Amino acid sequence: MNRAFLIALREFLEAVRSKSFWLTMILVPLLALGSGLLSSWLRDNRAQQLIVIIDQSSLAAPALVEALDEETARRGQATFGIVPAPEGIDANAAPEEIGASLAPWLDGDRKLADGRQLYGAIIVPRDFSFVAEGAGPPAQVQVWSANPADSGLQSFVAATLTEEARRRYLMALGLDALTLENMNAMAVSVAPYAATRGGGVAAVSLADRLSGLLPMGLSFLLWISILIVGNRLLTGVIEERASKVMEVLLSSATPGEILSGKLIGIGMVGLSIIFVWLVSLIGATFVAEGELAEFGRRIISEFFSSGLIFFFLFYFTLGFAMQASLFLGVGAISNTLNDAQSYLTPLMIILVAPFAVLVEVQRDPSGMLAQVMSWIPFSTPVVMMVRAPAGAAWWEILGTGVVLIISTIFVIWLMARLFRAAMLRTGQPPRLAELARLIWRGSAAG
Amino acid sequence: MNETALALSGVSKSYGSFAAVSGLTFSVRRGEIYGFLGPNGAGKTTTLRMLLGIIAPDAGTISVLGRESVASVKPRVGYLPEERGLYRKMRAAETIAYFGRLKGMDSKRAMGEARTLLERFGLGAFADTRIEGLSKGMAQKVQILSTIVHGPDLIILDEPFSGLDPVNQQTLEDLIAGEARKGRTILFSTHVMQHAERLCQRFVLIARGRKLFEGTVNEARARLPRRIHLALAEDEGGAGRERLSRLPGVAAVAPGDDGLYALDLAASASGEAVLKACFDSGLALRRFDLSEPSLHDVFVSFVGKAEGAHAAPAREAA
Repeated sequence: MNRAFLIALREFLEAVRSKSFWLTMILVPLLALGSGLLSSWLRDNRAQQLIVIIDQSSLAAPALVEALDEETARRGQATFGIVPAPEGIDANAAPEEIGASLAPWLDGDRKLADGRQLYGAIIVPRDFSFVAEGAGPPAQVQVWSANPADSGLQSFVAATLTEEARRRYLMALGLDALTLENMNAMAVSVAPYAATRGGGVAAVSLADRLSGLLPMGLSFLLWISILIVGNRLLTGVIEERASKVMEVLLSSATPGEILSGKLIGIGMVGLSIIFVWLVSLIGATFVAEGELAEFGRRIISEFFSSGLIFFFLFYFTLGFAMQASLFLGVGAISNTLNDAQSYLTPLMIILVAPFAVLVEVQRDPSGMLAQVMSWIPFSTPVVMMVRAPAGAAWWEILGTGVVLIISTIFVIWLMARLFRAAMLRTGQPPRLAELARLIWRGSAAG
Repeated sequence: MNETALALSGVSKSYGSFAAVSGLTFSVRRGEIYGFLGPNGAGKTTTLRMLLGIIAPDAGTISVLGRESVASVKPRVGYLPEERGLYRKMRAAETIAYFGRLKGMDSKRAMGEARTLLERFGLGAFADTRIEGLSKGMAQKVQILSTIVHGPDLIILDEPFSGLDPVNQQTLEDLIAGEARKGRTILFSTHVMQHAERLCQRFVLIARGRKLFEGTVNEARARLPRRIHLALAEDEGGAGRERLSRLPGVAAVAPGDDGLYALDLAASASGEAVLKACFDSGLALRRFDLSEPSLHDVFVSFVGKAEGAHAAPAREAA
């Protein structure tokens, strides 16, 4: 049997037998699913935030109460619940004074009569009006809250009172209530369309939206798998160097066979993690029901029907081979993990840089930034994974693909030379000049 | 038996300005146990790595099992490096089988042979134990078995006895002798002369990357004068030294402890003739031992001279 394959098989089996492999395999999807479910559960089950409304003008409160009643009718519970002002608060005082006197309740120092916490207060000054009167600006409605960073209450008040102001203005112009209701019910139907590759047009479906988001998710998947297995690859090579297993391996196989065996083995580990995640997703969509399961089914059908799987396999294989061989190179010149740290920093920058611009690439797949990043081999797999399904020109897909293939082969060749020259090396990790010399010479030293 | 298994001719290897091996030439015949001796830092490991094709020589030629390219005969060579290491998470039998398969064995035969070897060397009960669960001695045995599992024609062992207790050293000596009886060629490096003396048919001695001697143990001994250790019954004020040095057949006399003298014999002299000359001269002997030089003596003498020769120009330069 081919020696590279044997080395690959051993790498794969050792990974599969390790606890970290199974933890990664099981924990990552569980965490993803768990955090998704948790945030949606939290959204649905958030405790009602209690507010006090003190309306000295008697103009605003009815509109606010009505809006909250409507939300209750629609969702079963409104975001905000109105409670009477705590005892001892003078509702006729100046708004700032009222707000200041509510501070102990808002800060949580004091609780409401039923022991609950007050979240906010809406204070409408006496001189408030919906229509601007006189020369100065209309009096401000004050929103006091326990958490100024949360703009939810402020937005609710602004939206509700602005709508009420418009309604009053239009009624003052002579419109009747029915006309107003009809006016509010009016809505122009707008459907998103996109030009297809064939030159025609097609309605944008959920699948189309997914086709924009899914590749981005796949790019992250590539990144996560490189991080997971890159670390394993690095520690593996350092251990083989330290334990001198490398010397026995070298007496049986060539450095090229060892390097490619390791890349194939660890690539198989990465792919099998993704394969198991995909199979779990497919399994889950068969078992589960509801919106989430439907979303999962859409993802799977999009992945298999739109040719995305081919782009994924192409960019995954090359991106993975290039990055993983860099990890191997670092392992070959490091005696300990501490030594490796100094080389890992530039490696991580190379790894992370494409993700810094990925959102911009997704927003504007044919922009200048996206085009430039597509031709830089280290970012090609990540950027083109997003751009290719989004309709990049065929010559760009082909051209960047060829550059990527050539660069990947070049990087592996370079790392194989370094691997060969540095594997049996002892002493301090090489400095940059010596590193270049090792690659240039490509044969073992010391 | 006269066919050459391994031949080096004018092999050199330098790292920068440091010459690790200089113009090394020696050959190993098929089926012999050949010692590769030298002090620490003599260039033994570098030479072995060149033999295995792990590193390339700067100059000279190497032929292994009749081929110029080591790569083509790698499956017929077994190698035990000086510093041992195995995959800690792999099991004993699995480890031996893995290295056997890397040398071209099929999976079933490799595993079968691995279990047989473990059984034969008393590790049958540990065949499915992970390496990290074995003692150091056991792990070393596993590594040695990994070296021979595929039945190599040439076995190269770098300091195979280091780290082994006396019982395991004997087991390894038996194993080496057993492999040689099967017609396999064994090259092993060591700086412990007792093993080499017991096992080697021939050996090469190197120091500072250069060959000092190549031949059999007896040929090496013949290069050193035979030595007599004797003590005189009466030796007032060390006057006996003068009388001993005048005896025919004695090349040199060196006094030792407890009135013991070491007499180096001249090349043509015999121990019996010196003994007779002692009686004829009226010297009363308390002790008289005639001994052949050991390989240890050979080693110390050759390496000492080489180190001295190297140090002298350095002193002059200083």
